[in-house]
Amino acid sequence: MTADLRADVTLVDLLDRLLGGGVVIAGEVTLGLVDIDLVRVSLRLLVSSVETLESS
Amino acid sequence: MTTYVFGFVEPGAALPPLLRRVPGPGVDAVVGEPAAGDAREALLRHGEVLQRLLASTAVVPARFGSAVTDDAALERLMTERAAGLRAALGRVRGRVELAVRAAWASSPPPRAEPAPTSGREWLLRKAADAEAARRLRSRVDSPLTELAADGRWASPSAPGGPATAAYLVDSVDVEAFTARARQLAADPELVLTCTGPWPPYSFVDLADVDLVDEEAAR
Repeated sequence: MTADLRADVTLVDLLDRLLGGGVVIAGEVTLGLVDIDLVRVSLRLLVSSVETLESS
Repeated sequence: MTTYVFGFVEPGAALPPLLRRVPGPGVDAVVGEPAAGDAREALLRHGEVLQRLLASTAVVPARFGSAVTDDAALERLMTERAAGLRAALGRVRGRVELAVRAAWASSPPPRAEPAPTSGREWLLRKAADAEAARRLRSRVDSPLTELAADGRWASPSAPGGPATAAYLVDSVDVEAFTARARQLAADPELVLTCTGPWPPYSFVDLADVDLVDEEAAR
């Protein structure tokens, strides 16, 4: 797996968690989720702290 | 002025710069300004704060985008749900989340196969998909669950797609868990990735700790 692909996998896992995990606080203010494609680019900075195992 | 909530941590836990604590009974909330800028900056900051907290304390993540009316409203919520929050923190203490995606290497990509031409063929294909999903779970989920305190497995949402799983793993078992995941990833019949350690986003018992800011909900 290339480094780019590994970063993408990690990114998908991160977005799954940010958008679908955690304690729900009802009455919450949800920030508008615009420009998800752009999110992918910036979040590369973050995923470097997380390990991805290679698949064969 | 709303109070943006990142998560809940051990009382008195060290906080990264620019964050504040709102103390509650047996658990502190970590709050701060929501990131200035767009959704991308806000997502980045939410994930980064939780990852940094994970390095030094048990942490129960709040869902991205969670904000309450003010500190007083948050204190009320934490007092009302103190037992649930403490229990949630206790479940994840000393543990991290590891994420796994797994599929059969031989799975045809979606829509690569011709559409079924009869009801019988459709049923046979559906049965084969279910059997492949069952075997995938027994091959991957069973050996990983042995090394985890808890696990969540979701079978492929489309035939041939990856199953997604999350495991809550004691910190001392992370090395053994990732070693076993590497073994599975080396199996030519499987395509498998494992990422983490993550804050335990997937192991918050919602029934226990859903928090309702009644003022904002009105």
